[in-house]
Amino acid sequence: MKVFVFTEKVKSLLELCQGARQIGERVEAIIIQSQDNQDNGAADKVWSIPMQDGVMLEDYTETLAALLEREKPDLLLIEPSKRCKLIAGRLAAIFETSVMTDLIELTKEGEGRHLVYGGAAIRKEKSNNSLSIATVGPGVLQGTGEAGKGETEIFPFVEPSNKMKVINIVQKTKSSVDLPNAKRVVGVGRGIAKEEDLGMIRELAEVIDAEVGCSRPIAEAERWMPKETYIGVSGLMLSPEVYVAIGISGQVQHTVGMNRSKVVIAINKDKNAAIFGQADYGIVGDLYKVVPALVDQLK
Amino acid sequence: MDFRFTEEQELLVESLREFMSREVTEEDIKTFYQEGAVSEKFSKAFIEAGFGFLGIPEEYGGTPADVTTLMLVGEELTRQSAAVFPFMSNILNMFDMVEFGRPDQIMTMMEIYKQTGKPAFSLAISEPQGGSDNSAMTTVATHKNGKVYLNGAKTWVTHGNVAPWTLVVCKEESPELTNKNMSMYLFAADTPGVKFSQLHKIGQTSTTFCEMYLDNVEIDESALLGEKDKGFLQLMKNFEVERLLIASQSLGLAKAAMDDAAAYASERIQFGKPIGNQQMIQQMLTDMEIKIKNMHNLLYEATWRHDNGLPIKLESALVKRYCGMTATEVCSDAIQIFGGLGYTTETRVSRAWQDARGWQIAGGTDQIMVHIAGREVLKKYKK
Amino acid sequence: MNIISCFKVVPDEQDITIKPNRDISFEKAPMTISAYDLNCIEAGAQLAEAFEGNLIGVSIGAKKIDDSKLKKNVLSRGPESILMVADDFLEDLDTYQTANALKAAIQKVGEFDLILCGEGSADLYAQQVGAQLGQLLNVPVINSVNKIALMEGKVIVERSLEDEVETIEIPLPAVISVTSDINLPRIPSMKQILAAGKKSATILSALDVGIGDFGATLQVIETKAPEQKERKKDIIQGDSDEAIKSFITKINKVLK
Repeated sequence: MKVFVFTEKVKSLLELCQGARQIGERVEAIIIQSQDNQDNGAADKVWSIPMQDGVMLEDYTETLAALLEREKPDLLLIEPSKRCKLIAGRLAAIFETSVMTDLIELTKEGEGRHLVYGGAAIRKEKSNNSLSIATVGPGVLQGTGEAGKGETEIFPFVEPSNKMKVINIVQKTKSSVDLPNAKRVVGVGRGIAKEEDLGMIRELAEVIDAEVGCSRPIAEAERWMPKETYIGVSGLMLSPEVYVAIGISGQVQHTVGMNRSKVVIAINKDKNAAIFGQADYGIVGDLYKVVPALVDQLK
Repeated sequence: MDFRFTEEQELLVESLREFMSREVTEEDIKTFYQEGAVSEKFSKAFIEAGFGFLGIPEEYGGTPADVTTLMLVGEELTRQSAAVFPFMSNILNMFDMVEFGRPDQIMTMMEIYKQTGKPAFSLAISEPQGGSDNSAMTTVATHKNGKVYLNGAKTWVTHGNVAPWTLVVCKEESPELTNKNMSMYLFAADTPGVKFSQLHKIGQTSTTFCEMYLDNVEIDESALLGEKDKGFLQLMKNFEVERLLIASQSLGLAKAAMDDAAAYASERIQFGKPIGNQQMIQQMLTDMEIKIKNMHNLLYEATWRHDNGLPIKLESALVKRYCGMTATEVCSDAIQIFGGLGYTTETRVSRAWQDARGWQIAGGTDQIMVHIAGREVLKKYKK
Repeated sequence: MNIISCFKVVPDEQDITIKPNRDISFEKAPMTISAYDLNCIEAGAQLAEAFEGNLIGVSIGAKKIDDSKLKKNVLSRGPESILMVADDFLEDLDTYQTANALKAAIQKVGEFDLILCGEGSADLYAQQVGAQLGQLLNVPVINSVNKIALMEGKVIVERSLEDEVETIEIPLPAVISVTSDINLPRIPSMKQILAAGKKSATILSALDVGIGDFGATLQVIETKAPEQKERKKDIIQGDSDEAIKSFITKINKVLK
């Protein structure tokens, strides 16, 4: 199987190329050639599209389509970023197919699995088209260290039919947390009464060397934490070694984002909370008593 | 026979549920109850979402709605919150206003109501010696030099000390028992000579409840609302709808208690299984469900009658009595299912029970409902 | 100014149940407007109200989407009218089929300036239909939009991406997918609900819009509730000092 890989970020390209080796024997990467975007040695071939001034990533769609049309790979793996999902959708329309999005698993046979119905179910599907397109998140395909041959070929830019004009780009103040790659995650939910109490949670996270994420209400209703840190459907899907759920009731919308964790620890005052059914260790108690005690004794 | 509500009514109820889940939390409600007032924010939101204008004529900025729709709102508002808010009585007060007020009086009251969502005026009827027996009322209006002077005392005046205006029902000139000439006067609650002193209820504490003293309160003749000497008849006019509206809130409380108790019965494990598996608990839940269905059917049959132009003198009294008494029973059983937890202030069922009890008294006691219904029943079956 | 808000009719997620064999059951789930499309309808309504535009709600799906209450629900949220292609042959479509069917429906509407889509559907959440629809109609298409400023012949939109906020100018006509942050959907009032009953809804069959036979591009192998991972469920009751101590002893092994 010939797999093509396209990503928005350089870092994701390496990861996805390595992962692609699990699926196909030949892996080719597509990059928009610029100073900071060099071959990473993971692919057998790198297709380099010359970077155009003032052209946004999405406007390379036609170029990608031309390359895919000529090279006819069996599978195109794309990073599940917002820009890339738009590109994937447009490519799928051009090739008269549909994208398998946000896969949590992809087999050699091309069968992808992804969550549906708000996490209540997992759907297994497969493309009927000669070209499969899939967006796959970080950490889903466990990569190998195997290096590619790394030859490079330039593919010319194709002028898009509908060009957009970028007026302005403002970098978001990036939260320094990297939840998808964190080994330990503390998730905080509605059980905390006010924003200031997050301090106590952060203290615990620091003591056990974890990053802090949250359930949807904390990010969306209360806005106490950035939207990028919420775990669950349409948020982060994590699989850390240890997940500590504090004041989280454990509704399915949240648990789909953490139930692949190796060990789950739960703290909740409601002994009927669903989270205890999904926990390895738990304590039915007031988090305002338990958390400070943990900070104190785990230090 | 079709027991369904209309699609419009169902959609309105869905809107109300969405509104409640967005605008108010159980914590908020507890605060309202502790502080004796619904927050400005929630009151305004209720008005802005249009719920507060239901049934008020379009010319005053309202949205026409039949009584069935109004009761559905009363029921659902109470059910979602397991609490009694002053909103439905505000609407009811506005009905009196638009029915009997002069355009200038209506506009003034509507303006306040629109801006705050809070009650523009309190309604002072009962007196220490004249509760259900309105003819025993002794507050008197005397007319001198083109002015009106009010003297007397009122009690159980809901939101008396917080509403900017008050509507007082009193006798003209003489407190005699035989004097049937009553009038309604609308004036600012801070008029010199008006004093309030707050009473403390055991439930329904999201608004205040006051004694009111009128000591030679001087007001203009223009404060008269509606017709002079016809105050009692005016008062009677909306009594029947008021009874239904109270019943809708009783029903809402009972359904809220059932929602919580039935869920708890499935969750609470004792002797290794959910208590809901015990037949004793199942019997309680079954009987609660029967009572709720009876309340529901009795109420909406009466609203259906009213919306179809049929008289509801008997039905409104039956509904008020049955729903008042039965809601207390259902809420009490819900507490029993919750056991020790039910007797704490942590649950909604304990609040629902305290609130439900109040509706057996307010708006005409259970016994007054017998007084009204009894005569009607005899009439109905007379051969 | 003709604005189209596309919406999907989905089973209400809250009432989806799981059978013992992990199959998903929709028996108790009423049909409802996909949650993300409420933002799409609201965005269309706000633009139409501000620019005296005409907003049309467009949906495709099985015959059961032609539901009187559901149509009133949509119409109470701002659209002047609805166009539905309701045909049992349009059930369980993949995103390519959906985009094609929407394209056929939209061609019946005629001229349009702006087509809005939600971020994804509440049931499958593939986040693809907007992108595919734009490509099929051969007009500019953008996603992840959380602000729209409408101007003569163009829109200026703000996109919220992972690391940046981007402002772009797009010539009309165009297809835009909006995020759930773009607005707070209105709660229809009694007035709006009553007015909805007087608005028009056009219901067409697949044949009416010339949708012929189109095969699925994805083959669904199965849809099952996830298997629960076996957990130790070692839960300590109560938060006495002793209980906390024994809890710490247990988790210390994991955290070492």
